[in-house]
Amino acid sequence: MMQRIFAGVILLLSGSIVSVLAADSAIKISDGWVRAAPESAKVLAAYLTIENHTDTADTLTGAEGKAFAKVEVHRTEIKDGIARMAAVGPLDIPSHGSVALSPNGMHLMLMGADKTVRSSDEIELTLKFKNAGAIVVKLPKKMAPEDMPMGHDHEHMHEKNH
Amino acid sequence: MALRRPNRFSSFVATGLIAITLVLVTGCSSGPKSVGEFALTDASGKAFSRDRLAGQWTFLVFGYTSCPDVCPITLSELAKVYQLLKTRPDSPKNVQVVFISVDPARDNPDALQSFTRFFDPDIIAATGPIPELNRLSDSLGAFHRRLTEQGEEYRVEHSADVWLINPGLHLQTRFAIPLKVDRVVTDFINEVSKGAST
Repeated sequence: MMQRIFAGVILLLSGSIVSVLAADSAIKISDGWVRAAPESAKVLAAYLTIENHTDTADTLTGAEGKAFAKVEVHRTEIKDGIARMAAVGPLDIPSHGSVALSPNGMHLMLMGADKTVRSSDEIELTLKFKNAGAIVVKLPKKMAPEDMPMGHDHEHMHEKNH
Repeated sequence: MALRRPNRFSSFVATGLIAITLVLVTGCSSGPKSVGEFALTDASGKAFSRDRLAGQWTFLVFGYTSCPDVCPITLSELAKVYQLLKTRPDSPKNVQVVFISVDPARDNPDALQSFTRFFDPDIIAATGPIPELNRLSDSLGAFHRRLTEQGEEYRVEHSADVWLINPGLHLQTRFAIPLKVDRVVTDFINEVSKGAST
């Protein structure tokens, strides 16, 4: 809370400088989580919403994580009762728009998980954008989107998302 | 006008009788798919054939453990259905959840065990050679196919539905995903009462 008031004061005092800086990082990642998986799982799914608060469209060109051999954006398609996954190429995020990666839709496919993933409650990923550059996110592990993060209380999650 | 009424009525009755006959014929003989013979192995190494389905209400789902989105979602919802049914006095006790891996090359017994145990320790996991998997999936009208991709990270396409097999080894119904837990519970109880009356 104090931090926010402080940030607000700074914003008022030097609005122009702050807004110039913010233009570079006005891609916001919200509602991020990683589906908790069994210890043996080599592949996990991460979900998040990418908000573009800038006046220009941006593109998610790729993603990576230290604990994973490869990270790709995948889309689950269910047609005639059959589930298929397809890799999604560069993902456009419209200006002042958002794109949600959510269950049974798109997800970040985290492949080749190493052993550190088992014991960590948070998964660190780097999202690479054409304009905004690299954005590092730390996502909690959860069983379902509405659940509490594993090993974290609700307050912590609430603060972290702001 | 007065003469037409009985005609309409009798044709209505006739149509009704035909409809009832059709329902009876299709319901009793050619209608429901029957689970064929197959020889798989469960996660503890025991033989898993259709004998393991006989006398049980089985929620059966096809998938693979390197499936990070659809399969975990369905299994966690099925685990909720299973636990809810345990608390329902109107639910039969002979209910089981079976996960059939259609990726035998990667899904060894250990991987299967830890995957399904994560959602509910009572979930039975099994897999086996592709021809045996085909015998099971073909008999239900299910589909699975490994995509021909290089390396370890190939994908597998598979039927996403949940197949409800009745104790008489017939396909009772199927539930499309995404599952609505309460709805599946209600529909299951309805199916059981239907099954008991025939």
